Amino acid sequence: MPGQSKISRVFSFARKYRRLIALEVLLTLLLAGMAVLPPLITRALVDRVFTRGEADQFLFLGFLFLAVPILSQLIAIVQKTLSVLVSVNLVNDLRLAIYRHLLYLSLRFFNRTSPGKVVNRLMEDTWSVQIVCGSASLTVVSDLIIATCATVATFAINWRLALVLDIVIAIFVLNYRLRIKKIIRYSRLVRREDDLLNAGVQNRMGGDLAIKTFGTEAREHLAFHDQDVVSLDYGYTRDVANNVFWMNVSLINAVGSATIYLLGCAMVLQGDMTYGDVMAFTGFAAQLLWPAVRFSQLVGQLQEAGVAAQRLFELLDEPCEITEKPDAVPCHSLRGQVDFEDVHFHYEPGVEVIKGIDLHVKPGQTVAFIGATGCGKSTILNLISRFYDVTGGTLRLDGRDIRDYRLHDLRSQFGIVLQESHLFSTTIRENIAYGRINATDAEVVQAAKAAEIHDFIAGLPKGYDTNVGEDGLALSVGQKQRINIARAICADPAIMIMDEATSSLDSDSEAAIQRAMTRMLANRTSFVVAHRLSTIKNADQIILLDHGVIAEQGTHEELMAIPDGRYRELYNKHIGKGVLDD
Amino acid sequence: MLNFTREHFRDYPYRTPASHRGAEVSGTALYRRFLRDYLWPNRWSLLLSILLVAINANYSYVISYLNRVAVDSILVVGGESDVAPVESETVRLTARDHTPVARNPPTVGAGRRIGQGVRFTNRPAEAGRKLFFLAVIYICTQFAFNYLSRWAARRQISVNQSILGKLREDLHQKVLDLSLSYHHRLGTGRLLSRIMSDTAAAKNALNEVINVGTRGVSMLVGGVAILLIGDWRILVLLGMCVPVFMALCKKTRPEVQRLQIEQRQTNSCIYGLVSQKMDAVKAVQSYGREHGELLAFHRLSSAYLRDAVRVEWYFMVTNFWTWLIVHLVNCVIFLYGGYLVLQGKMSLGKMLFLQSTANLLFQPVTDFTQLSFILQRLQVALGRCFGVLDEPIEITEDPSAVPFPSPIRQGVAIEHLSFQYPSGSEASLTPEERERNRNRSSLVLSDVSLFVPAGQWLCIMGASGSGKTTLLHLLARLYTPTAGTIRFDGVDLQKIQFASLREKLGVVPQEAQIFSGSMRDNIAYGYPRATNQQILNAAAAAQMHDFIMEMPVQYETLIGEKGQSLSGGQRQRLSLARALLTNPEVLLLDDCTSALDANTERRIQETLAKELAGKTAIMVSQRISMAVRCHQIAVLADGHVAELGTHQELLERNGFYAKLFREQTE
Repeated sequence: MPGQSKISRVFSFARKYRRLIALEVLLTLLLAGMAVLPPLITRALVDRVFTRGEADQFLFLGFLFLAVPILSQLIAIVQKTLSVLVSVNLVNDLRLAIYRHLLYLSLRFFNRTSPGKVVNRLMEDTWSVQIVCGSASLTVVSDLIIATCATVATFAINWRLALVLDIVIAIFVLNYRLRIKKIIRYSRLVRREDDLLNAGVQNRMGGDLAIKTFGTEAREHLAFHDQDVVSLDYGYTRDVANNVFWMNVSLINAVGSATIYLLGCAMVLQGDMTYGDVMAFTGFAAQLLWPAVRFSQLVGQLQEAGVAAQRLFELLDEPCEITEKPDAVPCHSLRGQVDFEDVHFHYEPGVEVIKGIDLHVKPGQTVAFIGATGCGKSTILNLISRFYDVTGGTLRLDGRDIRDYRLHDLRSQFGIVLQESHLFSTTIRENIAYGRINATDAEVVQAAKAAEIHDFIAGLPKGYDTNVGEDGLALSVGQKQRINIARAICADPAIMIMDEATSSLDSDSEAAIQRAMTRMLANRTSFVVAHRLSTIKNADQIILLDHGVIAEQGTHEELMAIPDGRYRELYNKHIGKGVLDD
Repeated sequence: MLNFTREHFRDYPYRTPASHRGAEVSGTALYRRFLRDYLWPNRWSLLLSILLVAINANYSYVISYLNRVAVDSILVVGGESDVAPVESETVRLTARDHTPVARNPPTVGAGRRIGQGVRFTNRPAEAGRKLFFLAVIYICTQFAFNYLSRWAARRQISVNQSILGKLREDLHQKVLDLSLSYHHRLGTGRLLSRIMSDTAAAKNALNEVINVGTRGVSMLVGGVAILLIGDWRILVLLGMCVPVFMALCKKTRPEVQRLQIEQRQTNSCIYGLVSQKMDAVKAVQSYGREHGELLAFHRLSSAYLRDAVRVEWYFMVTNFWTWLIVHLVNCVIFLYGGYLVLQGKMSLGKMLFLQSTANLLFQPVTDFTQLSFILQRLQVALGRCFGVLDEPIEITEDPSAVPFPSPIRQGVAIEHLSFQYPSGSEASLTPEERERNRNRSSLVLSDVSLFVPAGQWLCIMGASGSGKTTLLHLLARLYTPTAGTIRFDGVDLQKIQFASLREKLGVVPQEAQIFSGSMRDNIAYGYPRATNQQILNAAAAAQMHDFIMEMPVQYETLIGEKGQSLSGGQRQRLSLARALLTNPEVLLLDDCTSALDANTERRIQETLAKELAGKTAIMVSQRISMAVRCHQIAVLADGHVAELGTHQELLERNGFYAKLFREQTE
């Protein structure tokens, strides 16, 4: 069966709970053993008391008839509680393991996988696995035992009838074989369609502004409707297929047990059996038939869980490209010297994005990268903060290869402000203190002041405790960006990286932030990518990149001094000379 | 009772505090509405399937009656007396049920004397043939009921699917219609969980309610009727259990309901958390917060699972007590019946029949216990769905709306416009905070008046947070102003038909929104019927064409969700191309060149000047180079118009604009 090994891998997560599981199995065995008793008691009651009239046995057997099921129910409750606890914990462990893995995966993975898909896997697939781990796996064990006991018992009572029973079970299996493929196929189709629906909704929610401004609500709804119809259609087919399967099961069950019962009656007529035997036999037959039904159901679940587990382990097996060396050294206070030595990098083999860069940055220097879209600016920043590893050459930090450091230590040395400002649905305070949880209120306020956002926050009704998102707070892009900058400042990093961080700010607040930054960056190495040349004029080094190589390098003055320099041309354009001359 | 949950651990970050969770709607109102809007259109199919389920529910009684016939009239098991075996046969066949013949008490010796011959003579002569007929009837009944229920199930499945579809689509439509501030407040993950998983939960619960409810009622009626005819004492005994069941339900019901609401809530919060963090994984990694995030997830996930375990536990306990009562009563009936049989007052067949009927009658009783839990699930899910459907739509089309005045002759007039963002948090504020709120002006725009003559350009400048984007959003009617009006050629914006407004008004937002699909589809988003040449022209105007042509499959290049494979500048240009393609009458540009390098920006400004010549445009920009191209420049400060005039006039005023000019051109 495909995915079976995957299921067994799920169970490797269970090692932690082996004692509980052992207890569970023990109780299950006990229960299975006890399940043989009720039909035997009924038989004794019917044959000995009612038929032969042994009234003295009545009380004793009556007591057993009453007490045995109660005892087994009580044991069952303990067993079920254990199974729920174990399975729930197991799934929690699995989810955490996957989520942890996701958090450490490289950006390359997230560039090609949509978040919606990941969320779906994490939330939905783990549930299908849970169902199997929980009730299902135990049911298999107990059903197998009960079925074995029941088989032995039926053959002991009457072997001819037992053979008939086996034929009925064979028909069960046949029904399963014939039907299950269609059910599984359509279940998968429904799941796929639902994935698509999910992705569609997510896509639309991400583009809500565009939908509103172009007035395409009707069209988008039609798209949803079209997808929905397909999903519902598959859902109908799946449910009908399921229904046919179950109706067959119940028909086989009903006709099968009736046949056995009536054949039994016929045997009673012939005198081969007593009526008590018949009742006991039908009791055991039920114990055999229902496991067969459940088993068919279970195999479906198992298959589904196998697929789910496969998808989950696909995620777990996604290699973490950025790994720590076993002998990685800690780094706590970097001076901030960065050296590029013939650094090469490619995302896809054969397409080099960085083609041999040599660059030496002294502690405390500010380096600015400029160049056209796609020239590799952001890539360099990604290399410095080790979101990717270089594919050639070395990148040294304080004279040591960047790959020698512990990853977590390394990242905590950087303050990164990204082009896209992400705020999380929590308070503004927590958003600012995101990079340093134990920051005091004073430090948070100080960071906000440095990013020139304090006045705005203080003016909100709930101040720093305003919940972003929940409180209906409408932040402008510039405000979001400034909160992001405050976050980076608050983290108090050794090296600051700003990727287009100030592009959405007006020149005024940009200038103010610039001032704050100059103060903040006094002892920090910083790397800046900016389109606005005014932002970077004061940088210690300005690097003009062109298709992965350094085209021009120097300070503002040095670069302006190059007569036909491209920087000079860019700068003149930027300050709007051309326009004003018109 | 196990205490799995500790309440004070519940309000984690990323989990909505209790006060935010919408008002409780009463169950009956919800059901009535669900009945009216979703079930009523399908009433005939539903009725039919309910009828079939009801008939079908009684098949167990038929089967056990057949058993009784087998035991009593064919096998004649039990209570044989060894006195005059041959003669007594006819007597018992006729008088068995009515006047039980007094018999000798069974003797110990009876067992020994049960030889085959003795028993055989007790049975009707044609027993074998009767048994065969019985078998035929039995199996035919089975087939009939089975196929009847297949038919019923099919009907029901199709009804279910259509209800699910309608609910899903209504929600989706509603969410699309709701304003941006609602989307912003709930976030994608949560909306997704409403549209997809709450509707599915409602459908499943409905399905169960119909099946379980109908089966329960039908079996109850059938069972009570049989017992009334058979032995009313058993019925009394059963009747005594009902209050016990009700008490059981009553005790656990509110707790289970609360837990189920919590569970659905936590579930949607996990969706929200995970989708947000997966979106921003770079930020998470760059601050080394993987561990903290894991913890946040762990908390939510554990809260969910703890609630799940607890609900499970409640079910288990309730089920155990239910089962125990059923079992005890069952035993009492069995023993009482057995006693009657031993006394010879009842035949074994009848006893088994009545006992199994009583047993079956427990099914509806326990079903009703189940039903109350299922109804809760339905109520919770419906409550969440209708919660979205009831959300008022802030922006609606006026019934007397007129088309957009096209071509625009006079211009766009903004008159005494004020705006305040709707606050979602009023209820959660403390009194002091509310006081502070009142004293403070939270108006984003206050009393803004501007006029843009047709064919002219207005540039809006100002510090970030001064209300520039809000003004554009109001012009695009994404929000409704708190006070004041916007008029296009004297027609109030509120009275313009949506479709024509969207057609004539082009908006380029600050943050470009990209859909997953091909480059071409994205550019043609606002005008899907565009020819290839038109698309190429728009892309070229937005300085996008060359870059697209460098890609392997050019305009057919697929862009991932949210355009993650594109840089910020590329996205802005794509969004600009999209707006230019629709060839709008009035264009609103919101700082749409902020992420571009100077060269590209310059080129775009030049093409815009060509493309927009003679059109009305209102643009937000930070760049002097853009502002100088505009006929008028307005500087916003704290929601007021601080400066207004041409480039030259503002330079002479020596205010914000002049300062900006100096900074950018020094």
